[in-house]
Amino acid sequence: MEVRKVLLKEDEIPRQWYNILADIKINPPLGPDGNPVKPEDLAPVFPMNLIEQEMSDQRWIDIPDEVLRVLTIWRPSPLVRALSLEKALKTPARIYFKNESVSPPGSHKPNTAVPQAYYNKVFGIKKMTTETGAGQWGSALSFACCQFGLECKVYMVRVSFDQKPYRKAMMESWGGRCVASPSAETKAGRDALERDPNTPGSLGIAISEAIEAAVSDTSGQTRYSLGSVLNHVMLHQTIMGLEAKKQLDLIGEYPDIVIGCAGGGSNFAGIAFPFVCDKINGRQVEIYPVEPAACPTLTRAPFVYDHGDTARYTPLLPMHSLGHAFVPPPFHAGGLRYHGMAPTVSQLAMEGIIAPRSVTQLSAYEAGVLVARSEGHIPAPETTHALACAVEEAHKAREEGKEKVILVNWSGHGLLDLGAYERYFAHELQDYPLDEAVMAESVKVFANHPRPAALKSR
Amino acid sequence: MADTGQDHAPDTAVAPDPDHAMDPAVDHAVDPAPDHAMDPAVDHAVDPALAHDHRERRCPRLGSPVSFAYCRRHADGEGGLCWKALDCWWEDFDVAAYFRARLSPAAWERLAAARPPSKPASLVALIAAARQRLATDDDNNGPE
Repeated sequence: MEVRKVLLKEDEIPRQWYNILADIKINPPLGPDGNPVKPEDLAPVFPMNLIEQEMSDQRWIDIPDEVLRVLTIWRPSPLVRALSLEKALKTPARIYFKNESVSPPGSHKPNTAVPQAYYNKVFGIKKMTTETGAGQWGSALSFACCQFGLECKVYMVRVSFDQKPYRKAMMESWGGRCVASPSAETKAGRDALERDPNTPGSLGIAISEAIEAAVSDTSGQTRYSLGSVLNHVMLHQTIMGLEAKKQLDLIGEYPDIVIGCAGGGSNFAGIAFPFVCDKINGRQVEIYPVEPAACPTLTRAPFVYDHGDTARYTPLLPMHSLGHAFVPPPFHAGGLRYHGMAPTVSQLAMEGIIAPRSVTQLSAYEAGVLVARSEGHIPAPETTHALACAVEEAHKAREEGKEKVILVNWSGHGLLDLGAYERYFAHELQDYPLDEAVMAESVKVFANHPRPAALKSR
Repeated sequence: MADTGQDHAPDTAVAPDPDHAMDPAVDHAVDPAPDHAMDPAVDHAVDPALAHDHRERRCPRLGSPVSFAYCRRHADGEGGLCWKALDCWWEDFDVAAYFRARLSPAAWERLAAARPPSKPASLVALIAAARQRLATDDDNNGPE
C-alpha cells in the first residue's frame, strides 16, 4: 500500500524559525515623516520582544520550548500525498499537501497566535486585544491566550458577529471575550454608535477599538495582536515549510513546485520561505504564490514607491501597484489593486525568486470541489486558489509526461465558510478576462514617482 | 481559513480613512443611493440605485457574506463605501458603471485607485488616532 500521510514525531518538530530577512533586502516602510518606521513607534501596541523579531535579520531564531509545548497539540501537521486527486487527474505528478486545517481553530493562524501570546506573556502582558471579521483570527488568538493564561478581548465586526454565533462560542470556549463591534466599551465604538446606532460595523472600526483598548490601559499590561502581513508573523509561519521539508526528506522527495495562496502572505510565506532559502542558495524549485485573477497586483503591477491611499495620507511604500490614476474599465472593473501583500513576499516577486500566479474564482471552486470529492477534506475558499494552481500544474505534468513533485499548502478547512460553495453550486460565479492594453496604459502614472531601489539579495 | 481582515488581504485589515472622512477638502460626493436604501417599504425594482442591494457574496476581508448595500454604505471608506467594492462585485454585475454613474468624477477615481495602507504605517496612524480620542475624552470628562 502506498504511503498516504508522512508524519514527523513530536521530537522532530523544527526548533528554529527561518527568517527571510537574513537573505533578502527590502525597502523599509516609511512613516508620515518620510523616515522608516521605528521600533518605538509600534511599542504602544506590541511588546518589544516581538518588535525585535519584526526588525531582526538573524537567519535562524529559536522557538521557545513553551511555544513548542503548545504547538505540539496539533503539530507536526501531516504531509498528505493526494493519491486520489492524482488518480482523478490522471497525472504522473506526485502532489503533497501540508494539512494545516488540523489545528484547534482549523487553520494555520495559531502558528503565529501561539508565539505571539507567549512573547506577550514573558514581556509581562496580561491581556491581548484584536479585531476579527468572521472570527477565525479571533479564535486562533483566544486559543493561544488560553494556553498561556492571558485574557483575550476580541472585537468582532457586528455583521459577522450576528451571522456566525458559533465563532463567538468557540472563542468563549477558550476563555476569550468576544464583543460585537462597534461596542460601547471604547471611545471609537461609542462614536460609531452615536453616528449610527444600528451600524453593522466594519473592520476599520473594530481595529480602532482593539488598538484603543491596548493604548488606553495605563497599567501597560495590554497589547494588540495582528495575524498577518508583518515580518514576525511570516517568521512564525515558517514552521510549516520547515516541517514539510523534513517530511519530504524522509521519503526522499524534494518539490519541483511549491504553491500557497497569497492573501496577506502569511500562509504562502510559511510554506514557501524555507524553499526560497534553498533557491537563493542554488536549488532548483519553482515557487508560486497564487492570488485571485480579479486582483492580479503581484502578477502584473510594477514594483514602485506609491502611497497607500489616493489622498497621499499614508507614507510612500515599496509595493506592487497600478497607481492611483488607474481607472478600470467597466467590463473588468475588479482587481488590479494592491492587495495588502506582505512586503517580503512583494520583494521576492520583484526579484523573480517567486513567480506569482492567478486563478479565477470559478477555477478555484472547481478545484476545491474536485479535491473534496477525491481527498475528502473541504478546503477553505482561499485554499482553493492554491489547489487550482496545483491542478493546473498537474495537468501540465501530464501533458509533458513529467513526474513532478508538487507541494501545496492546505491553509485551512472550509467547514465554517460554506456559503461560497453554495454560490458555486448555484452557478452564480462567472469569470472575466483581463485586458493587457489597459494594464500597460496604467503604469504610465508612475513617471514622476520615486522608484524603490531594485535590491537584489544575491 | 475563512476570515477576517487579518487573514487575507483578502486578509487586509484597513484603517479607517480619517483623511477622507474628516477632511472637508475631500470631495464627499459619495452617496450612490439615498438613505431609504435599506427600507423594505421602498420598491427596489423601480429604483436603479437600489437594484443591487439585495445581492450577497462572501466578503474576503470579513470572511462572511455581506450584501451590496453593506459594501456601499457601511464599510471603511468614503461615505461607508468599501475600497474593494469594485474588486469584489465586478463578477456579479457592472459595478463600475453603477458607481461611475453615481459618484463625482473625483470620488470615482479615488474608488477606482483605492488600496489599503501598509500595516506598519496604518498602525502608527491608528495609535495616534486612539491617543487623540482618549485625550479628547479626558478633556471632556475632566474634574470640575
